[in-house]
Amino acid sequence: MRRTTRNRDEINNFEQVKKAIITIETDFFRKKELILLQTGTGILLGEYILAVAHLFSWPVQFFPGSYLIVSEFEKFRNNRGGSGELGVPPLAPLDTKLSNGVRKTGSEPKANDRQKPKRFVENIKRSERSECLSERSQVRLGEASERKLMFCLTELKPGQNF
Amino acid sequence: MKEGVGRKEEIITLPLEIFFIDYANDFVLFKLPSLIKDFCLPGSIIGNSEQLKSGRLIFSMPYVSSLRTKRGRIEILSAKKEAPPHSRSDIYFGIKFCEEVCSGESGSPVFVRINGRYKLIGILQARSVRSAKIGIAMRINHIISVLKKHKGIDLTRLKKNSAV
Repeated sequence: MRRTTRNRDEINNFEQVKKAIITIETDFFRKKELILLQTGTGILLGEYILAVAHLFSWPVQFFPGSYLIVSEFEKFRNNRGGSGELGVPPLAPLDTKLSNGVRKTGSEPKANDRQKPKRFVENIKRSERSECLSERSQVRLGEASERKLMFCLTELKPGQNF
Repeated sequence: MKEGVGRKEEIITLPLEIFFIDYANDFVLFKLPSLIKDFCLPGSIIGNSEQLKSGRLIFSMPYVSSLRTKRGRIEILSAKKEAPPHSRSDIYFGIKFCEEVCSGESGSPVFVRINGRYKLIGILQARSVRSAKIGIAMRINHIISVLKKHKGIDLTRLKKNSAV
């Protein structure tokens, strides 16, 4: 469909807004495997990021790992005084994915991967979780987790939080 | 950003520190990671969600893999049926979008355009039971009052790196 001039203007205006919008992912760990529970959008407000917690969808205790996914990273850098200098230590990405959202790393999903999200939660003991959290930096999100996320989301019905 | 065929985009992932969780109203405030504090990020201009009127044109900007702009109109000023349990219904309002509300769009900013400027009036939180095109958003004024009361933070007075 051909866009009108008005639409183009609005999109141009929104280009500035774009940098303030980020993606939040919430997950927990089960046996050293990162499991994505939800994704969401966050709003940058000063030095804070506002997001929806979805505490009604998922138990509070399983809100340990939220990540900021900065997908417009280069734009942020270029915006800083135009010099392109970071001025901060180099960032080591924990996870990378392609622009189409497909992550680079991953393994084939196992047969028992497609469980209900609630069962994941029930199966995890506190000690297991804390052990896994300490190894957070070593964990890479795999294709199996992606599929689990999609399964979690498709389980939700209209009217529930998403 | 990597150059080459297909223009692969690098995505940086940073762990977030929870600064405040509102259990009753289901929103969370993260502290911006110190590593990216030096970057020039624009802050959103806070609007007044108490001035909402039914039929008002609004814009939402979900970021699901890529940025999308959605248009809609305010349809329900008080979303009683859709409000989460233990929560006041008058802090939510409904928006009828041109397209369906999808997973991952929660937390999206809801803007109104006033005098050519976009002002934040709410955050998208859920989808209505009545229609997949109706999104339920929380009023920004309520979030401001909660944060002021519990954490002494005044969102309207936060420094703005640049205007939106």
